Amino acid sequence: MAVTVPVDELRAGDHACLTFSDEEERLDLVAAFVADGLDAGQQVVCYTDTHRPATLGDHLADREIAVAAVLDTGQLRIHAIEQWWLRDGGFDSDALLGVIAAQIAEAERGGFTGLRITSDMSWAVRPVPGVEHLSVYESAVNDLFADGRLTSICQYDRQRFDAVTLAVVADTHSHAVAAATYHDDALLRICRQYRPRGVRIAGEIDYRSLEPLRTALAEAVRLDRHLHLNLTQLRFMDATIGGEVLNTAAALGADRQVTVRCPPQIAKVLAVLSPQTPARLRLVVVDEQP
Amino acid sequence: MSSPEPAPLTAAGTAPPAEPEPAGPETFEQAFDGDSLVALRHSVGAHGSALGMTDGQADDLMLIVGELAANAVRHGPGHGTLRLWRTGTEVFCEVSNPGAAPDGLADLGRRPQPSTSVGGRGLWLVRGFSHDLRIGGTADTTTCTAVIDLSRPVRPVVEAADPIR
Repeated sequence: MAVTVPVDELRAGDHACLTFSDEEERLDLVAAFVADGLDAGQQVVCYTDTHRPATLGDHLADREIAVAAVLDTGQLRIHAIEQWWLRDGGFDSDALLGVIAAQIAEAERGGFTGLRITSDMSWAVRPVPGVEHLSVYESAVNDLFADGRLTSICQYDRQRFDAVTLAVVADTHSHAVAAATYHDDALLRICRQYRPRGVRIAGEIDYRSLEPLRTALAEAVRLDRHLHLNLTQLRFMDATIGGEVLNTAAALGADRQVTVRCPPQIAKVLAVLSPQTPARLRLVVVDEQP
Repeated sequence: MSSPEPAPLTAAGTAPPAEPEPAGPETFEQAFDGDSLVALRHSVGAHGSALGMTDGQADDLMLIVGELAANAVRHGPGHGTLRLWRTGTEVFCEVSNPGAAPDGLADLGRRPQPSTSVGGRGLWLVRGFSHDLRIGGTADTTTCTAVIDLSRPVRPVVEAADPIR
């Protein structure tokens, strides 16, 4: 059974599954995984399905990764999954194991400290020929991790895969990666953001969720020099919560900063609450997301 | 006072707000308590277009309702009633609850509030998102009525920041 760890505690040789409940969370965790690999001198390969390779590159660049530079050097590669995993339109476990073994060797020849792969598994909900061999592959591939040259995250959307598949997935991976969550219900999700580091709040929040918010902010204040609050998917925030965000910024030392990314309405609440924007608060207003 | 009624009490000792009485199908009324604040906000958001509000104005109204209703829940008896109506270009948002207004309520939220203030920060926000906030009531009722004039934008933030009012 997979051991759940934060994405930044994965070690070389770990084979992890990432289950996520929304796209921001997936991209955040993937970006953290990619950045850690680049920092460690590994070659990083992203197999993408939901996004075109260029779009995934943009999402990684938005999360403070120097994508253009590492694509140029070959340290980062972004591929459409169907071109590598689904050659001839079907899934062939043996062929894919061969591809990955070859990539490990190539990374070694290129002077990298190892290979790091992240794979968007959304394709597996489509009726692809051979998809029934996916669990065979996920087990067999574990041999490639034994010597620590390969580290990998396979991304599974909790909403799209059935419970039985997700259970098999959890069994075939040594580790499970998920965002640390402080509050999660139908209305509100407060979780840790790993890249850039901080807290993400999505949905609607009012004074009744002050306590989990305080816990999340306190942890970020403790762990991160600069805090990033991702409120881009926050639809409602009341005065109590807005006040807490402002207080957090005001309490930071002069060399620290809180960056808040939020839609116009949330920015308006903060602006009215604090006519003089606190020196340590940077407000980035983004268009509302669908 | 020539009124035969007992003079209504307000915290600030001023005359109670005398709003044009609501009439017609645009009037919206909903009781709430602490468990139904979210449903109340959502109802208000959905009702905004019936009042002729843009999406942005309806968002502002949701915020106002959220703060006024939360005050009734947190600092009042725990429940209250919301009424919305429109007269001309003005939308009236009235939140009432049983119990006389606490002393000083009418003056709360007239300047930026420290985080420790009780209810003041919410009322400051309501003032920033509306054109007027009238706080009053009777010996046994507290009434807060925010007014949004749909024909002009809510005062700019810089003006709301002016501490001298």
